[in-house]
Amino acid sequence: MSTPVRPASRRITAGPSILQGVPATRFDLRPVYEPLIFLALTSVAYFVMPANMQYILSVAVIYALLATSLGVLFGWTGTYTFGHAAFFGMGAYTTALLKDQAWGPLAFLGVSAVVAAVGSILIGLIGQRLAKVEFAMLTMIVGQIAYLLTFRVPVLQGDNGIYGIPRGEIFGVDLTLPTSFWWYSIIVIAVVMGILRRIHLSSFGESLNAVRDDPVKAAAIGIPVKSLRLAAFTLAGMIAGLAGGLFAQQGSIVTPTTLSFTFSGQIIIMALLGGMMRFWGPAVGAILFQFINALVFGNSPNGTLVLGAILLAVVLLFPSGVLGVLSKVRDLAANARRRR
Amino acid sequence: MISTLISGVAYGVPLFLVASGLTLIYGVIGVLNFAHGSFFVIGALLATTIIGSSLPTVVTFIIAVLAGAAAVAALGIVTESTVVRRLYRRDHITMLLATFAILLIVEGAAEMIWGNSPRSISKPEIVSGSVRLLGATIPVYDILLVVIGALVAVGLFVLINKSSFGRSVRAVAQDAAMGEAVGLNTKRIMLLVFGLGSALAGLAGALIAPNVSVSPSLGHAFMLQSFAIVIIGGLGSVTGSLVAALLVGVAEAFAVAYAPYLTGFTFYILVAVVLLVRPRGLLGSAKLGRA
Repeated sequence: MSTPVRPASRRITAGPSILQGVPATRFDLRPVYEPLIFLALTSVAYFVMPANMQYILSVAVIYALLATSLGVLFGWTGTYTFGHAAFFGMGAYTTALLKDQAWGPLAFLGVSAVVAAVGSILIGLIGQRLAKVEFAMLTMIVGQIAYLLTFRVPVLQGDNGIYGIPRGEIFGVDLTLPTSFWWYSIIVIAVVMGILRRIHLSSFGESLNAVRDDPVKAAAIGIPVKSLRLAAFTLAGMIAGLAGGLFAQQGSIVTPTTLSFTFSGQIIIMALLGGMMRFWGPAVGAILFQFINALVFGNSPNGTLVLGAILLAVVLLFPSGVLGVLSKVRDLAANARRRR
Repeated sequence: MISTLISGVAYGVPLFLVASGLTLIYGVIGVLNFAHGSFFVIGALLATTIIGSSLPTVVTFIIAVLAGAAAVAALGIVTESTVVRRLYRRDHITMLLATFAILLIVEGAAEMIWGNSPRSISKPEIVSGSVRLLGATIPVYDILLVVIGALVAVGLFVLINKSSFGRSVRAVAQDAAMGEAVGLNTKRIMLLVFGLGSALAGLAGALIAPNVSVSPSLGHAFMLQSFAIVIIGGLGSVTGSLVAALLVGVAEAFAVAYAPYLTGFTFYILVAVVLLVRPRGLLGSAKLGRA
């Protein structure tokens, strides 16, 4: 209803042109150069920062991937979930439980992604018949079950968490050094972001937007709404699981907080802060959020209060997030120039 | 067996109070109030402050319970008139996020005022014992809870189905714009319903305070459980929340007694089963146009 409907993006069709005399654009390069810009900007920032901020940033880029995976649901598909941390945690715990295997680091990420994908397929199937709000509540409850399981299943070590997760080495490069791990993680994240961006611009992504804007009309023009929602939920879960695996390697410890309801809420806040309706919004929001959190009120006793106030302000005043505000400013400036 | 049943019902009553407020607000206004769990905690914390470490008299205890309910009703009314009201025309998700923000704010404020350490209070002497009934030992307080739950359930039923206020409430729940057109003051009705639902949460909090250790984080567990009950009972159905709360309470009590490894999970198992069998909950009606 009142979801801001994006004007249709400039579709660049592949293949030969059907119009005589109009040359076809062969290839949309956005999924290639946007992640490269992301990689360049974050890496430059990383190497000019003091060491304590470097650590914050290396966690923040993992959260950027996680928030983008949530954007697949909130922003692309209009599916709401309040238990996204469950899939992140699933991925993290998968990597943690396999810590004694002598695999390459990428294999862990793959397995984490697959486990989280299987988990999200199951939840998606159970929730297929539910209306929006009930589904959101179901995900919240599932998240809580996952959280409780970490305390009930002995192998998951409860509150202590699982520690001593190795980073291993890739192509002969030892990843225990922060710098080499930075390159490994940012390259993985940029590649996955590129793949996501490609999906976002594909006809599949367009169909998801149709489902978001009006599921009834989408069904009427023959879009398989339920299967698409399931596919989006699985994709989001899978990427969240991959981010979880990275997170486990980065911190070399996994605790139940990665699955908590509070963390699910934080992921939503990150995505919202940057702007749900744009592809790069959640990623920008996550990095911003991490820095605000760590530098401004992370250690203050009334952090929860400030967090709530920020969220309320964003929801009431800037529902389109930071990127939305920036593009508004840009439009205003352009209009002002035109008037002169 | 009997004692398990009674303790299950007594466990279900506070859940029913919390969930009925939640489902009432949803049924009439169409708002799923995330902050409900934190309202519940405020009621409990206020009761601990009023009673303190003394052994309360009956009068003090009643005052504490009513004060908890009244203060939380005021909190609900403030919330509705400052934040929620602005968002009726916006989509669902905005409302969910806004109430989630209120949850964080209220919880943060509670941490600032009361601190994070758990607090406990004692019951009035008259209800702190237990009685023999049908060959089982039952705490008097549990019986009191059951009685209060029954009174509230009957009261709500009468209010909604038999009073003129209830008729306007049902009208607004069905079609707010039409209600406005025939001269109902929908704004005021929504405000009052929000206040009433919040009052139920505060009441539940104050009543359960003597049985648990109260801290600001208590809200999460209760909120999730009451959401589970609302799903099982069907969104917007107060009767459904009563049935579901009793079902869940009894199931939990039996789990504690006979299958300890299931404690804490019965809720979620029930939710999964109900959702698979009846996606709209036990007594939920499948309304059209709610995709």
